[in-house]
Amino acid sequence: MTVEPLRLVFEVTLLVVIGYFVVANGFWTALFVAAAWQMLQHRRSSAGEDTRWLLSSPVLPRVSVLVPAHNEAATVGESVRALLTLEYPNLEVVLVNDGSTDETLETLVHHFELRPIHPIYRHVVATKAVRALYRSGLHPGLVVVDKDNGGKADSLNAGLNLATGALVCAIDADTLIEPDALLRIVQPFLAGEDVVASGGTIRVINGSRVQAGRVVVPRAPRRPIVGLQAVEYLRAFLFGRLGWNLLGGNLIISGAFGLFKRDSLRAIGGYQVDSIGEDMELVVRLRRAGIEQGEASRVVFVPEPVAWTEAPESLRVLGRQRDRWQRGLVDVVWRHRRLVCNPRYGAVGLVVTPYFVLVELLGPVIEALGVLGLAVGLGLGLVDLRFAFFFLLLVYGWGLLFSIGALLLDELTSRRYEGLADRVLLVCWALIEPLGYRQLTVIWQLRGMIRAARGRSDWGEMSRRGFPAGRRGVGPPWSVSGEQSQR
Amino acid sequence: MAGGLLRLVGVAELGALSAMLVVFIAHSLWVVVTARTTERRLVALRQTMVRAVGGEDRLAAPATRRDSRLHHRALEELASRVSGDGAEWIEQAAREMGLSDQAARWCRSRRWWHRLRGIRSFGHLGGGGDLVPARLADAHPLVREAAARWVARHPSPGLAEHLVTMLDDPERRCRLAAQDALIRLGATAAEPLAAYLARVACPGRALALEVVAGIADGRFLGPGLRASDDPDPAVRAQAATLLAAVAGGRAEQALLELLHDASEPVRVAATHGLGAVSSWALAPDIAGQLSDPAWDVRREAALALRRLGPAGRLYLRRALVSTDPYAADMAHQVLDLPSAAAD
Repeated sequence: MTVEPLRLVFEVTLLVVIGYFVVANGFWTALFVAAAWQMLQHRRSSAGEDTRWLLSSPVLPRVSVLVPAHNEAATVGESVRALLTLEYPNLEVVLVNDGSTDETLETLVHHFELRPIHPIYRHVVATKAVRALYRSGLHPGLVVVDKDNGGKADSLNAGLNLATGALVCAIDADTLIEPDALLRIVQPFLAGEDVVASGGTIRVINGSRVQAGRVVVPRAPRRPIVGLQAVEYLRAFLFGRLGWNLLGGNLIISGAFGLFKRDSLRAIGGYQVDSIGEDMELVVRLRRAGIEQGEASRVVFVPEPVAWTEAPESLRVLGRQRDRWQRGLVDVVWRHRRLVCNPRYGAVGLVVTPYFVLVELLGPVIEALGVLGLAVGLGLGLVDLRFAFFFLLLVYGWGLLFSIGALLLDELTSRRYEGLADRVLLVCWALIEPLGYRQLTVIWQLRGMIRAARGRSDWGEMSRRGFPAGRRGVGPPWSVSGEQSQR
Repeated sequence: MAGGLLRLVGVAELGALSAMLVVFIAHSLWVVVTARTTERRLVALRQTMVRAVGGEDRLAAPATRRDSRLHHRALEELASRVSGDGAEWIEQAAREMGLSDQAARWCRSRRWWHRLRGIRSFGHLGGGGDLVPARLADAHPLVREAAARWVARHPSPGLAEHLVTMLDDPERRCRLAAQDALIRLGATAAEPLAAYLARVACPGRALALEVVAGIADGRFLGPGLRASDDPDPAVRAQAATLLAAVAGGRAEQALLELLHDASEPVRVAATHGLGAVSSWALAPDIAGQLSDPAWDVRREAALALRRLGPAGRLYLRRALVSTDPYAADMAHQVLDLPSAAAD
């Protein structure tokens, strides 16, 4: 092949990469500006607010917290106790024992004096067989469902059938909810009839001190691999999700902590058990159903309610997680491909889904193409070294701008870390994120896409360190298949 | 050309990045450096305040804006823990320290977030009777909501009237705040609520009925009977709840008519209401609901019969051999419940 056709290929590639750079950064810049405005409004509206007033409010809707549990005998008692002491006046905790083979159920029976009950409830959503139902003699708000193993989505569906609250809160493995988080995450439902779901910020717990299911001393993670994820989370939640509130609404509510209108969930048949990205799929389906039925269905992100979760501490586990997230995204985009660029779906069709396809789904491909193209161009002398250097600097610098921006938003509003060292450490993690970690993420995402194309739909084996008692206190590492879904 | 543009964007990027980093580090430093002294002063201030409440010490007026913020914070903290004489002391102290004046200035501000802060301040510290009620008609919903909460802490029939009007507010958060405040006001709000329900057009009728169901006063029978004919099913469902709470022959008759309503939630509420009346004479009518096409109505009917005792159980047992398999199934489920089982 002569140099001329190669030059043509290279120039086309360069144009695609530059086009992607402009579109992606345009989206992110718009999201950042929208998030900053939202954060300012949030700060203004929450100054001097007394959430304790709500504690005695007779008009607050009942909330059912759905907790899937599988083989969590060691920590389930402490975890449930932490949930039962959440600050919310009208609370029900529905723990679903998803076919545990250890002593999870026996532990619960012992700790909470469970007694068999026979509530008459409607099997709105199909699930694996329910073996028995129990209610606590000590805390009437605690209901335990014992069922055959069916996975996280199936457990949540079983909880959904039984929930008596008008709102249901789905939580994930490793989630520690701050005491007033429910009072805050419920606010969008009090403000608008059209709200079907709301989500809060998820933060990385690794390195923090945990006692009795509560984060007592939040600390920035010391290990690079976790620290880098902590920055990623802040960026994803504090300006990604927050920004979408203004630009067409969110399509993702983290499976780790989200609040939903129960009847809306039941109407769409609950969680899709065969979906690999079941949390995103649920929200997309909720919004789609709302639009198709001519009912507004807003999904709102609230920055203040905070839940803490454990991030993977090894590259191997992290890689699997990112691979799975990407496969989940492919799955959701494919299932709901009708929405993309479809004016019938308004902002969801014309803004939100194109973003997910162009930036989130195809982003890794174009990014990899750009790096490869640049290398080939340099090798063949088709590209000026200085231009390549400055372009790369510009691309990664822009990403860094958003990371530092997210840290700044956090610092000026809901900062959780008290020490200067923690803050400086986060800046350090943000500075080194583009140097290697981002490229690794691209590789994992590409792997996920290839596996999705091959039809792989397994979750992969995940492992967590948990919060061993004595060292960092006791946390709630309940989980179904030991998975996390903080997307 | 491209190189020049690249350089320009690069310089802008670098500038923005540097500015963000400087602000981040400067703010972090400021917070960390001042946190310790602030906490120390706050602790001292709290102790002085506790002594001052007992009459052993006097509070000095804040000298600087930072002092003012600290005094504000400490007083608000204390206010959440005291009532009666203590609350009066806090209101007096806030006036003496100029914090009430500051809240008043905020309340008059053109900026909504200042007005919001002002009302919340008065809510914590007491006072604001001359300024806050006017804010029930504020242009911003958050301000109206905060004003409604303030009214709940300072009950008076005149303000209850304002709250009742707020049940028609276009913003859900304001309607809920008004409903919340009216429930807390209880009997104080009965008269304005009765007047509101007597009106021909009142969009917030369902909310008002929900409030008066909690008050359960005989004077709401008339509004309840009228509401049972309302074209809005949500209003009819609330009317059923109210009629069950008020009880009496006319209320029961209206509930029996609502059993045949076209709307499922209305039939559920009526069946539940008749069950709550706990009259065995109503058992045949409730038993009829076991054949309702809606699952929720059948469930309500079965549970209501179970609560009625022997008479209700008799009808449930009869339903076991009913030709309607749905009625038989529901009766079967309810009769299977152990006596201690929760519903």
